[in-house]
Amino acid sequence: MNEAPQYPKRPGVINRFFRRTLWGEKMNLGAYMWGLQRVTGLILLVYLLLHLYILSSIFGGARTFDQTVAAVDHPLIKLLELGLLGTVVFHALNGLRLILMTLFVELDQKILAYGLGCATLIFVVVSIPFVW
Amino acid sequence: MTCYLLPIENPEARYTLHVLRFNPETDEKPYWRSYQVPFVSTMTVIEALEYLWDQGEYIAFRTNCREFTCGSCAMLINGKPQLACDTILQDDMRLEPLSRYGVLRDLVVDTEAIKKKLKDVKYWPVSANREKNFTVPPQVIDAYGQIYSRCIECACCLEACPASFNEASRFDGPMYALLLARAANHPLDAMNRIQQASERGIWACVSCFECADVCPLDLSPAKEVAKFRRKAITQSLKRPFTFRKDKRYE
Ligand code: FES
Repeated sequence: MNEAPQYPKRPGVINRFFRRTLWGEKMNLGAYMWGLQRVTGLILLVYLLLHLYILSSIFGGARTFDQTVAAVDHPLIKLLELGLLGTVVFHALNGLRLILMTLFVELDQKILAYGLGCATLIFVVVSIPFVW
Repeated sequence: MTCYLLPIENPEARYTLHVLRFNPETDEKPYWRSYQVPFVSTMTVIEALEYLWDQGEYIAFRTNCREFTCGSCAMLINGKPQLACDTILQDDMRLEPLSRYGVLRDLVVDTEAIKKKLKDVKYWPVSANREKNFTVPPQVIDAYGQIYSRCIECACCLEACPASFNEASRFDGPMYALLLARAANHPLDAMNRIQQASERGIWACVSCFECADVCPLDLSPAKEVAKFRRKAITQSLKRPFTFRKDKRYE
């Protein structure tokens, strides 16, 4: 048989996932968890760079560092910190979920997923007084 | 083509069906066309396409068994890979060819890559000693009856997998993992399937279980991947320095 004819580029995975959800064919919970794992991973990467940037102000001397730290001492930043905490906990627990699902094949991924959602929420709520 | 047309219950009630059409000889780009199909409560997507053939709309599609046994009618229905003979027609449905393979025409894709892959990698049990006397344990027969012999190779799971884009990807795809598990579970198979699975990219699987979600036969290739991974972990824990060196399967 001849080679398949050149067909214009087809939609990629992310595009397909969005379209499918839009057209009413919901995906599996695990697929959404996978997407969230990727997104939280990216957020953590951005945070790491930001963190290093703020820390690097120490090279400008103690005064510059103090100024930078004072500049980020803002309620909005506190809120973002809480979000960051949630992101870290979710990312870590989701990784743990994947390991558990590999080691114990019969585990129900729905229970694990909802469990980890609840655990993240509880963790964030409990840590509010510490962050604020 | 023979069309087995259903009796039309109410010719007034009509459903709209959108199909992504493409003829490589005449079209530059694929384009959406909408068709009207009479409402029949039990009509499947395949029957709707056959109705359209009867009306002179020659949309290319594949079908053989019409009872989810041959796996040839897989396509994207509303963006989800499904068997057209196993899907009841709804209003405003969108039909596209599978995106993993090259399109030959309309809804027909070129699945040569699958056949080639199956031939290249030994996805069937390979016996070292054919003379060996053995009895098949009942749990193996059960496992074959319930899981391993049921895959119809329709490629729905391959299409849904976000970790495998085509046959050249690092991870072959869920269907191949299931076929590998089938071979591994055969009592006469003599190859090192765990290492083969490792090298065929099971570690790239993201455990999203989309394959299990779209499988028309409710199989779970992701579970087989997890089993392979667990076996690989225990095996390498037992023999930490020999596992990678074992080339028995070559
Ligand atoms: S026609 Fe055989 S599976 Fe649909």
